[in-house]
Amino acid sequence: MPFLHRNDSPASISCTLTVLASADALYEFCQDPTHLAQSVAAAIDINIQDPSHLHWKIPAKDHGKILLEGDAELVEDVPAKVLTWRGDSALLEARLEFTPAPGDFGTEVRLSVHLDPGVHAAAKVAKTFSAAPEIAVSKVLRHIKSLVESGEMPTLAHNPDARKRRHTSEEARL
Amino acid sequence: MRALCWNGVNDLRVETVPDPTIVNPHDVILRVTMSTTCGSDLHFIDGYIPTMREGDILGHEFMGEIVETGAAVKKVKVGDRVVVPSFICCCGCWYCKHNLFSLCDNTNPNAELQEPMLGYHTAGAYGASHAFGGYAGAHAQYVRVPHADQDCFKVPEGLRDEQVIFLSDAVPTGFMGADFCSIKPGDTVAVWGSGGVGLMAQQSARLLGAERVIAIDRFPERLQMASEKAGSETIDYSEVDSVVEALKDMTGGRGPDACIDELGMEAHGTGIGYAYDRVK
Repeated sequence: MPFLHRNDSPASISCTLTVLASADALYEFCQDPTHLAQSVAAAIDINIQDPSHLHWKIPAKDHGKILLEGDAELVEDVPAKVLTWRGDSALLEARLEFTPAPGDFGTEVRLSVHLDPGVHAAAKVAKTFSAAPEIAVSKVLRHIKSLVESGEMPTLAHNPDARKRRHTSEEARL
Repeated sequence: MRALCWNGVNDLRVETVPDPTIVNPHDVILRVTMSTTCGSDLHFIDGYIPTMREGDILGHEFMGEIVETGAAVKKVKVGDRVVVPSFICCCGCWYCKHNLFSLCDNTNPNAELQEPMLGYHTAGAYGASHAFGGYAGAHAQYVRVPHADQDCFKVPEGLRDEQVIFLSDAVPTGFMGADFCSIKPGDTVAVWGSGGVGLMAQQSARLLGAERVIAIDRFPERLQMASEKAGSETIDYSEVDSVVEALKDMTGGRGPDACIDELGMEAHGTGIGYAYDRVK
């Protein structure tokens, strides 16, 4: 379970999770911006400009309108220890730290996200992430963990049920 | 396809739903040839387990034939006849590596929904509520099976579906109960319940070295099965004043070395204890 910590500043969210991989392997995985893009794809579109620069957009789930966007630059890169991206707008900073876990557990990964307080403060954030921002941050960590450990992220996409068909037929009746 | 859908407490309907598709590279699509009712299905039907949604497909104890494979599937192929465990396991996380498959870290897409209830999430499971992952169940014509190379077990030629389907859930559940007992040669093991899972626990206890297995139930046909199929001695709890005293009497006053509860959530007790449970 990602352990979650809210700093005194309401705009900071920190979350940690243990991944069964070495710090070297995790650092290498997270350094690749395509993996980063995959880990956040459920909520954020990332356009990789070069390995150190990316542009991100958060579209609204229902109508596709861009709610937030900005640029981010890799500003700290310590092999097997830290990766930090710094942004110029709503996302002020995202930092990944890798610490060897005891025994055979692998590596503890901490993701700390600092948002513009004005963005974080309101319901806009809940709307932006379609969930509490803490859950959105922990989900990114879970996605990294799943990709590293199992090669894919668990998903319910195209999961069959009787709801959609029922709603469709109800709409047809209307 | 057609599927058995949950629509509320005691409200099941066979409905037409979309066919499953390959979503992840390690998926296969299985044409279900047999899917059986587990005691756990009763928890959903009776409304004991929250986070079910109208239209969810039930079923987690099943087998079938692979009809489509994802790009990364290597060990199984189209046409293979396989039996599938109810929990979905990635076999890459710490828990899977330590044979704690039902705690798999990477197969429950709704882990954050489950953790406030249980403290830590379990693996995802088929047709077993959204807290347990929300995956469509197998009381359907087709089902998507993630991590198929790890989770599909090929069925040898010559075995009928009825002979192997219980490997999906009933055997592992019963075996786990016996495994928890750390059975040593010569032990006496008492098993409460002689339904499907109880019988598997009795057989497993015997396989793990128990010298005596004592089955406790009240249905004569179940006790007969326990005696004939598992070689168990039996106690009909409705015929004795005290099961504990009966067990002591059968074991020279020592009582059993290990006890296994295979009754299930809907089981009931007797006497004052039962009345107290009902009030609760």
